Amino acid sequence: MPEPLFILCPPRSYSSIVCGMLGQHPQCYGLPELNLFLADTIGEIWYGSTFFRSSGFHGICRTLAQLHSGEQTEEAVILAKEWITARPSWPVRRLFDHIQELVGDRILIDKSPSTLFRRDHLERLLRVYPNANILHLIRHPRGMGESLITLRKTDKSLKFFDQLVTDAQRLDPERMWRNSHEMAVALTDPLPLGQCMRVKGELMMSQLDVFLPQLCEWLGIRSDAEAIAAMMHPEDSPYARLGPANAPGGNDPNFLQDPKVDMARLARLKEPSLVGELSWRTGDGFRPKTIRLAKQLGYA
Amino acid sequence: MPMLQAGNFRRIARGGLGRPGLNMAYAMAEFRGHLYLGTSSANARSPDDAPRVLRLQDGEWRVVHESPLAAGDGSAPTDVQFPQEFARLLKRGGEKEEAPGPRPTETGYRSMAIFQGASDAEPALYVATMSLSGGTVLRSEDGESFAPVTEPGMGNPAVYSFQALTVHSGRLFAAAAGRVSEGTIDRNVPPEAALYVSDDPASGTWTPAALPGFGDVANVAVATLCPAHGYLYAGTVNPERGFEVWRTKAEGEAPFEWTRVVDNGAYGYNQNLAASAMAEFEGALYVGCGVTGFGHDRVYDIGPAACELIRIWPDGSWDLVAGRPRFTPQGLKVPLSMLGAGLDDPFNAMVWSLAVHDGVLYLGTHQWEAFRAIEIGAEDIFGGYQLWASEDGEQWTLVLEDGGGNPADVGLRTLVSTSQGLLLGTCNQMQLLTIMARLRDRKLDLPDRRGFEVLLGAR
Repeated sequence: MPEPLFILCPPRSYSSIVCGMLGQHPQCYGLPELNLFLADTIGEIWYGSTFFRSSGFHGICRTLAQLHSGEQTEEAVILAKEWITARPSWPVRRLFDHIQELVGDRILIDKSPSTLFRRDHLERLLRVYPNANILHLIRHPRGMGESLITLRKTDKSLKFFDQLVTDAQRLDPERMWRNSHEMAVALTDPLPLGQCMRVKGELMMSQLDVFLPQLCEWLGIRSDAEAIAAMMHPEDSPYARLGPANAPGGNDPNFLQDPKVDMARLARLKEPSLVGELSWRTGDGFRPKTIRLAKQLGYA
Repeated sequence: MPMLQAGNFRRIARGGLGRPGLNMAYAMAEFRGHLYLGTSSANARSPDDAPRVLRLQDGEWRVVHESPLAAGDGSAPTDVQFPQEFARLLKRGGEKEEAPGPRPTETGYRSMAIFQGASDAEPALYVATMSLSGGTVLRSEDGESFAPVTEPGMGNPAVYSFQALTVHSGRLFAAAAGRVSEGTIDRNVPPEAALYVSDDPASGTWTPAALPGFGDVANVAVATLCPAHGYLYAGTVNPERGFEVWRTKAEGEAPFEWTRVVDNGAYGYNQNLAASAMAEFEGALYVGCGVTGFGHDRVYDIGPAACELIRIWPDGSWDLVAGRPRFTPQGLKVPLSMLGAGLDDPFNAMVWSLAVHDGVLYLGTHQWEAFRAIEIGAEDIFGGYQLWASEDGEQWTLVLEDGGGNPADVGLRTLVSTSQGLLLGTCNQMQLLTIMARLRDRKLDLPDRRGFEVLLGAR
């Protein structure tokens, strides 16, 4: 079986659309956010993570509903939940292997932002999948921060999550951006040449015709016109829409509402500036260490 | 010819040629059948540290130029790349208080070129100086007497030196390098990234060859120049986005029309701070890059980062030869050599020199592992420059490593192909390593090999 591809990034970093596009490649299978690196076993994840219990389980339940029952209905999700909770001792890898068996020899693609919530999550991924392909996806900290702030105001599950976390500093998108990317850089830099590739989302999304074939080449999969054309339709994924009432999420809410590639919007994509006041911290700009890292990653 | 092997190299100069304070063999050229060597001192404070230009004649080194001396007040500017703890000790000469007295007005000789301008009856040797009172360009017709042909700093005494003296299309080019300001010295970044050109340097007439920084203030210096493909290529230092490479046909009157061929540090961004060395080989221009300072540029707070190597073709396309694989607007770039950043050594911070000799491309690095070893209290001190060679630009072989047996020899500042063989000029940092060890209450367990060395590679 092929090694899976894990997309590493904090929320609101184009990972939904990128995962959606790659997942439509004939040799790939794009997953919702599985959030499976929060702990070592299914039981520890299911019963030990507040985030997972609140909405983090949607992705894995939708996946198993689709793969076990061929549909994502409330009944299928209930069956998926029962199936999962009957296997609390399963290691994470075994669950991934189970999904891989059901999908066949296509490359599994996971983009769970929770992998970068904590260092031990990413360390677990690298331990469980030492040879996996990793795409470190980056978005400008201002763009990511503003997008996250906007989403928090409108999305119910994020509102709930915000209420759980009362520490304002932990909610600061700049801090989330910096911690996530510092961690990703530190833990992926020692990997063998080419195992982890890094790309700026804005650059990639504004030139899909240039970058999608490169991603295929890197993954060793077809880059012909038919494959690229399929990738331009992430909306064809069974996960590119809201799920049933008992597992509606599993992906970025905006993507679930409108998963199509909007070429006109992408053509207008511009990188914002590292200089200037932040919309979410009146009178304040980015911290020097954020600017340092952002420049290292290619932003100005 | 097959590449030179380690056994083909022998030292033809050591210990700074009697002046251990001269730590860098910075520039070399073959002029009128003789080898000329320009030396420098990181901290020229006394006549004993006065840098010199030397000529190798009949197997002996002969001084042909030595820095003039002038009264000094004992003060010394702080190098912006040095940690403050270094600077304090260096100002005190490491151990003793420095007394006011005569001191060299020049701190070294950074670049050399043979050029025949409109007023030159024959090709002359031009030498770029480093000076706290403004770098100049010296000219010598006979290799014996040298005289300045520019004003200090070409009119701006804050310009520390000039580098990359390069001949192209019947003109001589020089890039401003370094800046002297109130109590500090930056040896690399000038007040503005000026590039000058002259078709008659003997007359002292120089004009801007381009807009400063090619019109972008983020290009803070032009670090290297090289003719290739009928163009003159220029590599910049850009701490915002990473180095850029520009080129011009140099047609018509200066300033010339320049076109950018590589940006964003070849998509390594500002970890590829500076394009530091260039050489044309087998139809492509090879560009080495990296981070200035000791693996970490303290001025711009960039690094630690390891060097990379790319090559540019006449049509402006480029390949990654060594470095981290990446997606770019020019396609997927995978290192053709299968060597990652730093040529697989994270302590190789910069490609400091590139030269073609007998059909083989050679590459010298700046390698700062010895500093790291002291910093972390390692039992043994390793590291030192590396010399790599390639017969096709893609398959690379490590020829020399570990500073030729001296971890304090941290870099190969110069590689020059001559009729006598391939010459390697080293950078020795024994003084800084000693200070660093002392600051950590540690005795430096290294042979006391101070001063630059010159190695000759020949069969």
